Amino acid sequence: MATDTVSTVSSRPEPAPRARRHPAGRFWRRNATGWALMLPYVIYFSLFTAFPIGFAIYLSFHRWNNLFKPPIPHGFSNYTYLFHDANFWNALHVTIVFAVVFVVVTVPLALSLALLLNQALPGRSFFRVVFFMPYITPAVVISIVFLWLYQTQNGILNNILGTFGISPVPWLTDTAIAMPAISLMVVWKQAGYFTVIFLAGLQGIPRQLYEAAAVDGATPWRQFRSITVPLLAPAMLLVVVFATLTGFSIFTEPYILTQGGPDNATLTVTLYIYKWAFEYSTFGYASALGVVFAIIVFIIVAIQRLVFERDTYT
Amino acid sequence: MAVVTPRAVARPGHAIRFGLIYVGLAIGTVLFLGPMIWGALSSLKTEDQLYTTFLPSPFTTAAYSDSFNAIPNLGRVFLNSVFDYGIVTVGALVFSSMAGYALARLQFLGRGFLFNLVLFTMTIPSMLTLVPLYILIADYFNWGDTYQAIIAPALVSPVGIFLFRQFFSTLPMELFEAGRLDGLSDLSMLFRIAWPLSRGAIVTVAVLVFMNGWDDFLWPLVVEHDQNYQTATQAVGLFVRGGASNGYLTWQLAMATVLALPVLAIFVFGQRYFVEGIATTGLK
Amino acid sequence: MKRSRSLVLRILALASLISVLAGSAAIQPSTHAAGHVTLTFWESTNPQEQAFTKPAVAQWNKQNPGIFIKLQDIPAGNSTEEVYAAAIAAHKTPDITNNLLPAVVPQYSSEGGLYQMDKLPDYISYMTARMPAGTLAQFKSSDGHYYQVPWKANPVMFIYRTDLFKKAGITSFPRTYSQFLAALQALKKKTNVNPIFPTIDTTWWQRFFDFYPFYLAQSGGTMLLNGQANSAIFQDHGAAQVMTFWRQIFAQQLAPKSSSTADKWAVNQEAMYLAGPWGPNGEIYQHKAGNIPWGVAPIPVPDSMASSAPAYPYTYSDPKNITIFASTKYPQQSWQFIKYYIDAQNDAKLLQTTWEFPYRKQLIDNPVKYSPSLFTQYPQLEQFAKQLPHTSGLDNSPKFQQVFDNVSQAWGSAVINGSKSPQAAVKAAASAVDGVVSGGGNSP
Repeated sequence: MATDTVSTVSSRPEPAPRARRHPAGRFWRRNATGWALMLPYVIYFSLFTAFPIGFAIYLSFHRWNNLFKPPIPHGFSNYTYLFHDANFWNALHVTIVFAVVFVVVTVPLALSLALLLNQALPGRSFFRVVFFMPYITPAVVISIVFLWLYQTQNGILNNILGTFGISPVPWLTDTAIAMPAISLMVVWKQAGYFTVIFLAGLQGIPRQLYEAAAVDGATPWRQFRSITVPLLAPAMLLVVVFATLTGFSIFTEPYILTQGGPDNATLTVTLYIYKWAFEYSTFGYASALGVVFAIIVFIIVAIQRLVFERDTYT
Repeated sequence: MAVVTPRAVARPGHAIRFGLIYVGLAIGTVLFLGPMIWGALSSLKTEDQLYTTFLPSPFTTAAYSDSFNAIPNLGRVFLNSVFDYGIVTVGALVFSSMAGYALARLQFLGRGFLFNLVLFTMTIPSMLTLVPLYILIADYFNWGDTYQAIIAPALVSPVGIFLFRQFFSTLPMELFEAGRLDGLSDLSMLFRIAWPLSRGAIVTVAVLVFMNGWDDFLWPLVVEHDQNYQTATQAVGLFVRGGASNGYLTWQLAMATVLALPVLAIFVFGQRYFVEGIATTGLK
Repeated sequence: MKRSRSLVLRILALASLISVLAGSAAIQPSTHAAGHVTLTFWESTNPQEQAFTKPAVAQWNKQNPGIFIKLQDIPAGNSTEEVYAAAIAAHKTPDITNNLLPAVVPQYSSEGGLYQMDKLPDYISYMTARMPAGTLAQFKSSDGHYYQVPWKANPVMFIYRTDLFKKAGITSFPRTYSQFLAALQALKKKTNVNPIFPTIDTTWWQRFFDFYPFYLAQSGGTMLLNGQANSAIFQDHGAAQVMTFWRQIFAQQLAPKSSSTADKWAVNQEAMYLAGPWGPNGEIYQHKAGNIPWGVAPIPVPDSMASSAPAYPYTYSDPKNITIFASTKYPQQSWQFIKYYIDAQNDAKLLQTTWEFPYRKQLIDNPVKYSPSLFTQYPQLEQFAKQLPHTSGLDNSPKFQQVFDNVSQAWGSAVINGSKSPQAAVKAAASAVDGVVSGGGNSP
């Protein structure tokens, strides 16, 4: 039991405490410690998670543009407005496309890097650090560096492309290219983190399985397909869910790089909510946007869990 | 833990394969490190050299001194970040390890429910709670432009709880049974037995929490406006967006370099524990 | 049992210790010594304005020991308006500030954030004596009260390179759209400087320096919304025409479609730009472009208006005002300081230092007489003085920022990206704006 190297989510409970003197006090004693240790989290959750969620839902049914006066009941009007709000649907489209591209590019990239790093090479830990550096660097820093890299007229990237005869690419100023450009940057930043998770997953697969398969004559590709992929499923789920959440919640990068432009091509839902809340001071509608957005994210994550946990819940 | 050992089978083209892998890794290194190194180097150039040369010639620290002049509170702002997120990290370590320990090693009513709650909290998009949290903290508590506005909502880290719980589950039971026989309370066992063995998890959670805090732009943007309370990341972000940098990219790159140094330094020192920590605790 | 109870107590103690530490770390700056009033003044971060404000405040503090003015930069933010709104919401407003856009007054005053100025006994008399006749009334709020102190205006006009124009063979600044296009083409052919380098940023206030002046010029000063500010009218007052014209400028590559970084005028990257008088002032004093010859000219109008347009078609006034926040404990003393800050001497100094035009009667009536040294050294500045009576501000709507956001979006898609036709973009913007300002049941 205690020698398991990979724990499952529902680990078995410890045996009950030994003293049995007071039956009533036993219940208290058994639970008090656990509750006491959980107390900070419970306070935190109530105050900074549960209450805000409830308040957000409450506010979404109100109109609140003036913090000095109480919110005005507004029924479902915020949601009706949202339904017809072209800018919201556009922002949702931008966000979903970004998240999809991000996950689709990052996961194979991280997996490939992890496979590369999984070989026994000298200097492996150096490379591990190298790939991890962008992850550890603040998003603001990376945005500034890429703001400079992506300059159309004189940017380094365009200079390099120019030596191959490619005309300057309007990285951040073209509606079709701006969001993919930001995606590329975020992939670059986040890949290292997911690489490490995959690496750990790969290292958790017993070597004997590969050796047995090799003895049976399986090609490396077959080994990958039949051993690596299924056994990586837990890591895969973790990576896909986290990558999705990351993709949906980026704010800093579009804020610093393009402020949602050009022409709302990089206006993510997060930026859009920020705008309504803090530029237009329309807190009721901003809350409604947050609620709808959260629901959409929950649904997507739930679908992902269904897809990936289907096989592991045997 | 399975250890990767070199394949004993010698295959033809072994060296070629290794060579190719190294080439791939080298390209990866250039791609992953290149932009940042180049950006840092560019901060030492004059504005017109930004796009033309790789190395600055001559070296000039004008961008640094000019931007320090443009942001008068720079030192204060960095201290704010260190102070805010230092306290947050300590708090997160203490409180998250407490909850992680309880979830891993104790049995109590509602344990499964609370663990699922922690997992659930990790997946909540922050935009849902942004507006009400802002109103709670800036309006109701009147904590706008204070340190606690940043510290209080971050003192417990659900990811930290998750990581500690995973890690503590792997500790052998005998240790705790011995402790219980000695009459130690659970709190003592947590801090005196579990913690000394959890260097990897502690460093991982500490680095993650500190790094996420240092990196945070949106929340300080929303609650801190007084320049005495802004965080470093916020100040640099506003420096770029707010016009104080006059559009000089050298200035912006200089500030970006200064902003990145503390976390990079921490990471380089702690990376051995950190990367292993993610590895050991990141899996289900 | 004893064990777990003490555990709970220890945890609570730990928790309270940490939160107390965090809370007590908030440093509250002390405000004033006994018998002494300290007023906090958030000043704009424009360097030239600071060059005016700092000595003025220093002199006041020396001569008025009982009322100390503490100067602070307006905190950094995405825009000054956001910073003010956040300060009002968080109850952290200063006493006085000098970067207030008149358009935000309806929003802030409805929140009770601004002090009602006409409560001060001599406000109206003082301001009427200072300002050109009839101009004070345009700053009255819809409830009949005043919540701001009109300070200065900066008519937006074209600043252009007289030497490059001569080189391109342009004898006088273009007055109509086709003349303007021809001038841009000549500049592009005969000089190697971008004829014009407008921003491609679609942030709402950037339109103050491209779309809005052109729109006002051809609408004769009519703004974007109707009188009650509850419906969009720009779609019927030539907004699409303005956008069609500018679309041509980008399409013919007379303007580069890229974002530039630093100052363009001083490094010969543009032959003209739109700004108030602070523009050339900044170029000369901050960017050391003193030896670049410049001229000032009004906004061109559509060809169809060539004969009917006045010499100075309407433009945006880019006004900034001073205000006292309602949170102040010392409105009388604040007003006393403001009266000093905008007195005859300081108004003259403001003009001299920043070239921005205070709302002062004598200046508007006869600028050369008001400040002979300035206008003889820089006769171009007279253009601004002549333009000032023909300016419009912004609609009196609490949603003006959203209005401009929608217009900016239309600009982005119709003019810069060419993805929508100007008519379609303007129509979409107008209906979006209607949805926002009509205040109807559904608007958020």
